Formats: sequence, C-alpha cells, structure tokens
Amino acid sequence: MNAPSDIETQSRQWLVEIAAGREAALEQFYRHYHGQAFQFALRLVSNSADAAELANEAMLEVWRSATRFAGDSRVRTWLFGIVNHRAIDLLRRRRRLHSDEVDELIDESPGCSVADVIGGAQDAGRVRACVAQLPERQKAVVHLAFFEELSYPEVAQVLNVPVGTIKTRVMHAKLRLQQCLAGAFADARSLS
Amino acid sequence: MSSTTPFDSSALIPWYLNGTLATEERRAVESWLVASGSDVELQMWRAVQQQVRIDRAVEPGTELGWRRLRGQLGIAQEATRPAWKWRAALAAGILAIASFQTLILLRQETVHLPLSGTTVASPDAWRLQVRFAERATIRDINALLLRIDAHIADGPSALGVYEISIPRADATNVDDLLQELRREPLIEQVTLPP
Repeated sequence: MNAPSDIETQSRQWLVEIAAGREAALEQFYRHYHGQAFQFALRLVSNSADAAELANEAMLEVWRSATRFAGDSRVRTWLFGIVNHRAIDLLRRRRRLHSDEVDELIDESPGCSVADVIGGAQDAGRVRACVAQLPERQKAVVHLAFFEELSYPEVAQVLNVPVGTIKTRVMHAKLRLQQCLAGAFADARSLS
Repeated sequence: MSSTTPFDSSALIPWYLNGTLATEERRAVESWLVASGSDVELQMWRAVQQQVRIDRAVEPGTELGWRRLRGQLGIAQEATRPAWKWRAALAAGILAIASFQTLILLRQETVHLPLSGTTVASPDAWRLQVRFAERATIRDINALLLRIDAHIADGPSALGVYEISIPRADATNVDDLLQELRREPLIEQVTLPP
C-alpha cells in the first residue's frame, strides 16, 4: 500500500480531533471536503438543492461518527460512502430507485456505427449531454472514476456494491453512451 | 491479473485511463485493445474523461453552509450526550418549552410566504431582494432558505422579486453575504433593497 498523502494524513488527524469533539477540526474538514461531497451528491440526485442537503447531512454524520472511521480506506472514500448511503435513503423515501437501474442485464442488441460513435465523441457538448442522461448509478461510477480518480475497488467501496457490479455498470454506461453519441451524430449528419 | 476476460478489460478502461490499475490489469487491458483491433471504446471513454474532469457544478457558498452546520452541531451533541445527563437536559427542556412555544407563535407570523403586504423589518436581520432561478421549485427554495437560515419577509413582486431576511448574527458583513449568495445556483439576482 502506498504511503498516505499529506492530505490523507491531515484528514485522519482531523477525524481524531473531531471524534474528541473539536469543532475547529470539523470546520477544517468541512472547508476541505464539502465541495467534493456536493459534487458527488449532485451525480447521485441530479438536483442542486438535494445535493447541498446531502452534503450537509454527510458532514453532520462525520461529526457524529468520526470514531467509527476504521482507517482501512481513504478518508475521502469513507466520506463518499456516507454521502451515497444518505442519497439512497433520500431516493428510497421518494421511491426513485427504479427497476431500469437493475444491474444484472445488459442489452447488447443495438449496434452502433463505429464512425458515428467516434464522430459523436468529438463534440464536447454532445459528450456532456450524453453523460448527463446516464442513470444516477452509472453517472456516479463515471464521476468517481474520472472526477475523483478513485480506483475501481474504491468506487465499489463507496457505492457499497461488489466490484463485479461496478464493471457491469460501466458496461451499461458504455452502451448507453455509444448509442447516445452515435444517435446524436447521425442526427446531426442527416440535418447537414 | 492473468485471468482478466475481454468483459473485464472493456469494463476497466475508465481505470486504465485514470491510471489506478495494477500493472497486470493495465497490461491485460492493453493486450485486449491490441487484440480487438479497435480503439473506439478507448476514444469514447477518453472524451468522457475530458468532459467529466471539467464538469464542476457551481457549489453552494461555504460560509453559509458552515454556519448552518455549526448551528446543527448542538443538536448532534444532544443526540450523542451520555445517558447520565439526560435528566438535567429534560428538566432544562421543560423550563424552555413555554418560552419556545411563544417563539413559535411569534415566528409563525413571519415565516410564511406573504403574497402581498409586508412584515415588520427586524433590526437584527439583513433584508435582501432576491430573484430565484426560473427552474427553482418551491421545494428547492425552501431547502435553500433552510440551509442559509433565511426566510421570506415579503413578495413576490410582479417581477418575481422576493425580500428575504437573514439574521445579522449569521453574517456580520453584508457585502460578503451578497457575494456568497450570488454563488448559489438557485439565486439569479440578489441586491440590497433601494
């Protein structure tokens, strides 16, 4: 295992102090991590008001349960796990965990033209729109991999699912992205 | 891992790109890319990576968020307080109930959203004129007001402008407060009343 980074060492120290009830340590923790917690929450709930509420709830949870940090993951991974857990609670309350997000099935049927996928991927705005239309669970994986640059075992830990499920979600996301990019490119081509 | 399947290799491309794969996994993905003879997946994921990296949503103001959280810590501490203290807390709570009820009654007069008329301005609160983003729902606005410890004191006007009230104890400098509120995604415009 690599040596912990400076920020990881500092974060663990903050948690020790938070566990001892030091509000100043929570403030430093909050200032460092609140933005990241919000960005991740936003991918889970797709609504800035809910995301802000989730990030706040996660910070409150850190205050309450810093003693439960076992030290077997990075602090950031642990915090994102709390955000994810809170988001699941919220979505369950609103009954927004749909069956279309079941991970087991992959629809391999629709074939896309390679040229259309590559053509679609050249347009940043189109890529952004296609990522935005992914279901929240797939969006969360993409965000954690590319925005937070977590490893895939860490992503699995944050989302509290087996590694195999993460791979399946990536394959789902890949197919959706290919279809979206190719479809948008073909539409644009037919209009021109 | 030498047992990496084509499915695994394809599914691991995002982590091949973010550089977090173990050496063997990285080699397996590279071998698969060569064997498949097409880098369309790699190109697609690379485009997604570039887009996601820069896709940072506007974050809510840290100062107001922190002040709200700090205000909640007392509640969190109460919840985790050792058992031997609960009786003292209960006694204090009973004494506080009567005055708290009075506070609720007073507060109810100003918390509601007046569609016309105005509430009395308090010298202990900043009054600000706010226009919310068109996409903001009532639930969004309520969540925002709760988070920044504000309530609607007047409005909306015919132009959709509200006056909100924020305790001065939460923000001693009104310019800082205005700056922070301008960073809120749901607030389109915020100014001091003329």
